[in-house]
Amino acid sequence: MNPYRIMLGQTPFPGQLRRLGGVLALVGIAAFIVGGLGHPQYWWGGYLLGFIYAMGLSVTLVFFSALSYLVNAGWVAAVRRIPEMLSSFVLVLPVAALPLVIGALTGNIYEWMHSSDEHLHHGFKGLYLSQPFFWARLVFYAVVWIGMHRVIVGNSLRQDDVTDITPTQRNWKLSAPFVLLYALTITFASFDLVMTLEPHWFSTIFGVYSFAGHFVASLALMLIVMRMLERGGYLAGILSREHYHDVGKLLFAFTIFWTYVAFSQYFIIWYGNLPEETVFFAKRLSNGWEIFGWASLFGHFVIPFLFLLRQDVKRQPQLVTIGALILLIAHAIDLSWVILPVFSAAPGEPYQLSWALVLTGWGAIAAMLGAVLIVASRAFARHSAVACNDPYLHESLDYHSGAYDPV
Amino acid sequence: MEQRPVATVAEFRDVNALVAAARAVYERGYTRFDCYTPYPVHGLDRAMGVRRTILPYISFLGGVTGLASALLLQWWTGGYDYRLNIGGKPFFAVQFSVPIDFELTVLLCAFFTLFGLLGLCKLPMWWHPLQGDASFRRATDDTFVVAIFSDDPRYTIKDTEELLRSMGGTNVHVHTASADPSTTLQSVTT
Repeated sequence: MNPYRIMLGQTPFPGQLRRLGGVLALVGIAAFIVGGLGHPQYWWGGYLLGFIYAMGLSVTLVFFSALSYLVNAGWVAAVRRIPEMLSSFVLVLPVAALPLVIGALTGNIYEWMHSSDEHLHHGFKGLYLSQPFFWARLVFYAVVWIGMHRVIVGNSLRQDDVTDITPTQRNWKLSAPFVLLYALTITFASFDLVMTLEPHWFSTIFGVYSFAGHFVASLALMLIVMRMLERGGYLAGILSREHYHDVGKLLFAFTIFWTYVAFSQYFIIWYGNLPEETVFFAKRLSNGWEIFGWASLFGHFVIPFLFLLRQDVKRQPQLVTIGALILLIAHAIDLSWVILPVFSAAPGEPYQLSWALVLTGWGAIAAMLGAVLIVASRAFARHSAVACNDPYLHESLDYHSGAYDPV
Repeated sequence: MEQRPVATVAEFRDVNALVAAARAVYERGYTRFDCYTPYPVHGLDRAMGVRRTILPYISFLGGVTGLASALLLQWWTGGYDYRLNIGGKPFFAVQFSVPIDFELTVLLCAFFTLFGLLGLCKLPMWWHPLQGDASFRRATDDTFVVAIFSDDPRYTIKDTEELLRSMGGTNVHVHTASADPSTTLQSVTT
């Protein structure tokens, strides 16, 4: 019997995860319903926000697994199963997207679908923003993402039951095209689902900006669940400070990367000072929404940067998890700032900060995060929590970065 | 010229013996000692009781200095001392100062880190009191070496030599040098 096959089905852990998810979902749904009373467009906007949050998170968790296969990462083998389990929500994305399909078809989400503006229906933009092409793209994303989950996570799980390393070898090869496909699909999904909310505005870096946020959030969620598993004593002797440190380093690095990309987008537009481009920021830095802009700057960069700067913070499971929580919330602030203002006013009216709308959106985020955990709890109940036959497992267990720990 | 003891030097053939010896020397309370190995030995720094470097604080100081000087430079030149109207852009704004802020933060952080590292390692070091020692030379080839320096408060020729011998050290000897480092170095085997 493989000592690293950690089946959590008989332990309280899946139940704990399910209860946590259930509480988040119930509180979230209540906030979502209350927030949108009297303003039906709040529900559509809030739901879109929650969907993007969970979609970006779960697809990026599969990408994390694919990436670690692609670069032959040794350190990650002991913890890679955690993002893989958490990414199970990818499989139910089409179901989660149904309300959005209804909202879009009834003309409640995307202005371009029912706008008579000539600019939106001519030339390449007219072709790109045509409903058949739009829906075909969304179906393509869903096929790629579910396929990526089936292949990458599927091979990782198959490796648990065989002694040769053919499933892992398959992943080494297949992770390359999937990482490429992920890069393209997450970019164009951010264009299609988020940037088209304001169809006249455009930013080529928007996809990278979205990816950076999703990657930070998925690492943060991964750290939090690592901590939950460790506190329950389920991964004793497997998880070490080195794993927290490495995920913490990635979290820290991509917090800076997010800042770099977010600022690049802002800076070019600020300097160019062209009205068709500045409108995005002008509308989001006035009438109350500037609170979210500042909160993104501090919550997504200044505070976590200074907090996670020290090596010993990244090596302390409790502390690095606090950093992860800050960033998980900061990602919600960031996405809220991008998505919610569009739904805060009637078409053509200036955006206006509405806390009821924020409540609706954050309710949706909490509910979706709850759903992510509930779906993940089912995966945790069925499969080993450690990739027990991974050829790199021992390297990961013995891994020392050489960092200094006070004795 | 008068020869004075510089260090007691011991050779070890086996990396585990070296790590054990380093630990024992540290636990005896020696502070002025070092190990020389042909390749990096994992866990040796911990066995020797080496404390965490203060280099990150130097780096941070460099970063803060860079950020402050970048802001000051841009504000002083563009916004205060020599204002030029360029296409109606502001004389100074945090927005456009960021690339320079970033670059100078990184640059000074890197400088402080590099030169801080060299300084903490006392590099460049043109002369080392052990460099005429035969064992010290073999440490670049196939031997692990522990040297306990004579300026250690706990250093006595007899006790130090006994300790190194008891940990399995071979060719334990006192390395001496003349008070004037420019003269020829000698190794005295005891």
